[in-house]
Amino acid sequence: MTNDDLQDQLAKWQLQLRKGVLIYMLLALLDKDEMYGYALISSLSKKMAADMAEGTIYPLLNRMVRNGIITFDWRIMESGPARKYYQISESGRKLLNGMHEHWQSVHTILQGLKDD
Amino acid sequence: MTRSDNPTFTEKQAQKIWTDYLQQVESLCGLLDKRQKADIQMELKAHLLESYIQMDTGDEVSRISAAIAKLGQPRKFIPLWVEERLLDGAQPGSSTRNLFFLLRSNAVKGIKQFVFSTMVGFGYLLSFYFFIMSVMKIFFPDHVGLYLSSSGIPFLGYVDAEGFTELLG
Repeated sequence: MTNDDLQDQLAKWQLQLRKGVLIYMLLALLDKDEMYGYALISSLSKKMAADMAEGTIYPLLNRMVRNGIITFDWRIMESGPARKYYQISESGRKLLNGMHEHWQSVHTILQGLKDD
Repeated sequence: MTRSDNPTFTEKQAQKIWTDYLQQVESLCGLLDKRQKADIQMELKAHLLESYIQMDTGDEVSRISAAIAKLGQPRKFIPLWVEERLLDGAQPGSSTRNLFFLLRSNAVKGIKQFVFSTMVGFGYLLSFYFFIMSVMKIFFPDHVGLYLSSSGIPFLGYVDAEGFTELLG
């Protein structure tokens, strides 16, 4: 396997991982503070250090609202268009705690495998 | 550019890019009701304007183009968003029209995938066929090729019978 193949496989794995933890990261960001779409997506891009098609996050946010793990409200701004602010719900916070615990256990398992 | 729900740009080209983008969004939101459409459009407008404002260098055209490039082309994410919005309403008592759209949307996706996989399969089959023919051509150079039968029917492959004319020589 060439170095390019390895890089390619790593990039694919990273992409899958990013997709897998997207909801986790969005909940973690909203757990710190409520945010409107642009701010939330910008923070996510910075944290993930990856370029993403920003628009693809909106359908996911919509699904999270439907699942009751986040809520939103529209706010009129003094200047510029209204903003839709997202907040984590009580169910979302419970889910986030569950995700944290699971992430920790995965981390512990991986650490154990590395130390063996 | 004025900062409002419907901003006006000083450069005509920038205004056109903005208007075209929102028109694409609107046409892709076609099946949603007015409230749902407005919700998506308002959120995208707010996003684009914020993104535009954050880019404090360059002319209006390059800034709005960059903001749109970051957000993504509408056809890449609006259909999924529309499906999500329709699912919001796909609860007991939701409209038959929404459910019909979801079913149709899934059926179209299925058909597209079926056609694509059939074409890929056919492509592989054809490649395999040509590979076998190229190997056979080495051993039977006078019997493998594109032929025309005496009744005028073309045939591609191995021929060992009278009445066939090779077309490619």
